[in-house]
Amino acid sequence: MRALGIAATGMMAQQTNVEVISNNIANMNTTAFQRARAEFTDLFYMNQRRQGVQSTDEGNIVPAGIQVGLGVKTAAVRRVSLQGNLANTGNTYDLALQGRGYFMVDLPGGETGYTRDGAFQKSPDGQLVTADGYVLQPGLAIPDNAVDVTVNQSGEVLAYVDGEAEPLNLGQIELAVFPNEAGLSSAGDNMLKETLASGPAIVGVPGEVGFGSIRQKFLESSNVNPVQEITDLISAQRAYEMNSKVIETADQMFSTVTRMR
Amino acid sequence: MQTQIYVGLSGQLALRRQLDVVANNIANMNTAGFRAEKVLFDAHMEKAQEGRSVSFVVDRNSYTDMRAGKMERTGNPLDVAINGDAWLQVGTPEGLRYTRDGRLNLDADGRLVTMDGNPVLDNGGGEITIPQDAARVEILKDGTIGDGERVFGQIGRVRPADNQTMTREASGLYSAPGQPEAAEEAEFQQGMIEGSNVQPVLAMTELVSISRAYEQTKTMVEGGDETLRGAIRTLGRID
Repeated sequence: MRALGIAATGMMAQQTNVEVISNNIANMNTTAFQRARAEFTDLFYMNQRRQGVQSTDEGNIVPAGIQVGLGVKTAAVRRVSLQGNLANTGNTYDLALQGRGYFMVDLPGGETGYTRDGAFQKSPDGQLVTADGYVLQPGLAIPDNAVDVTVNQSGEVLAYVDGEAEPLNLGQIELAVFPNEAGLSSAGDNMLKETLASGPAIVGVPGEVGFGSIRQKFLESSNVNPVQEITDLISAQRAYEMNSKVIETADQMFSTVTRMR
Repeated sequence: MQTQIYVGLSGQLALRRQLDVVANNIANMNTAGFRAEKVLFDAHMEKAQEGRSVSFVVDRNSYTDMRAGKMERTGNPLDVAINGDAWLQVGTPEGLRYTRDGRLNLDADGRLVTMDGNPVLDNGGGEITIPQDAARVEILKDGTIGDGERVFGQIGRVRPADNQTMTREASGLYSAPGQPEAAEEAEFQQGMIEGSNVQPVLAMTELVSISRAYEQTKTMVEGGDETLRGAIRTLGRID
C-alpha cells in the first residue's frame, strides 16, 4: 500500500509550509524582510494501464489509463519580492529603497552582500555601515565636521559642512539589480548573496530606468501581511490533519487484513 | 470454485489502488495547478455456469478532474492564472509539455521559466526573455508581457487537440500527442495562481467510504471461508 508513503510526503510538505509561514511571522517587524512562500509540485506518476493502447483486435483504444501519483514535494521556497511599506523614522542615515534594487555591502572575506535593509549608521572613520558594521559600497567618507548629510533620490550623498554655503558631494550610492531576484540566496542578517540562478549583479544609479530610488529618513517595512500568513497557517494545518487521516485510514485497512482469517 | 473469495480479493485490490489515488490528491491539496485524479471501477463479467454469472471488480480507468481550481491571490507579478480552458506551453528536454501551474520565474539569462527551470513558450513555440532593465513586468489578459511601454513577448495559451489523451508527469506537467491548438478566448490573470482543485470534504468522504468498503469485502471473504469450512466439516463427517 503506497498510501502511507504518499500521505507522509504530504505531511512533510505541510510541515515545511508551516516552518516557512512561522519564519514569515517571526520576521514581521524585520526591516525590509521579504516574505517567503513554500511552493509544491506533484511527484511522478506510475502508469498502471496506459491510455491509448488497443483494447480489442478491432483497434478500439483505451481512452484513459490508470495513473497513480506518488505524492508531493517542496519544489522551492520563493521569496516574494514585493515592495514593503515605507515608514518614516526621521533618522539621517536611514535609507529606504522604492522600486527594484539592493544596496551593496562588503562582507568579511571579500564577498559582496546585497540588502534592502537601509538602516545604516556612521562608523568612526565616516563610512556608512550596517547594524553589523559591514561597510556600504562604494565607500564614503563623511567628514567629522559635517552638520547635516543629505542623500537624494538618485543616491548622491551631500554633506553640509560648518561654515561652508555649498554642500560637499561625497559620492554616489549605487544599487544592484539581478535578472532573477528570486534566485538570490538568503545569508541571514538581512543579507542576500549572488548565485548562479540569480545571474550576475547589474550595478547602476538609483532612479535610472530599471532601478529603484532612495528615500532618506525612511525604512522599508517587511512585506509580510499578517492576515495572509494566518490564513495560510490555518490551511496548512488542515492539510496536515487530512494527510494524517489518510495514514489512519491506510492503517485501518491494514488491520482489517491482519484480522482476516 | 471459491469465486467468492476471489471476487472479494479483486474488490480489495481495487480499493487499495483507489486509496493510493486519494492519498495523492490529499497530499497535493496545496499544490498550485494540481488537478485531482479519480478512479473508475468496472465490472469484469465471467460466465461461470449457464445462467449464472460472476463479476469481478476492475479499476479500469482513472481520469483527471479537469475542473479549474480556485484562484488564489499572491501579488507576485510573475504569477499568472488562466481563466478558461487553456494551458501554458513549456519546452522541456523531452519535448513540448502543458501545465496550468502559473508560478513563473526568471532564470539567470532573463528567460521566463517554470519552477523547474523549463522555458515557458509563446504561441509560436519561442522563448520569452525579459530584458535586464525592465523596471516592472505587466502581463495583460491576452498574455502580452511588457513593462507598460515595451512589449517583450506574449505568453502562449494553447490546448491539446484532445484533453482526454493527456498523460500526467511530475511537477504539474502533462504531455499529449499531436500539435497544440491556440486557445484565444482564455484570459490570463496576473498576480494570481490557480490552486489545486482537490475538494477536501469530498476527499474525506472518499477516505471513509474506501475504508468501510474494504471492511465489507473482508466480511464477504470471511463468509466464503466459513461456507467452505462448513462444507468440509459436514461432508467430511464419518458417522
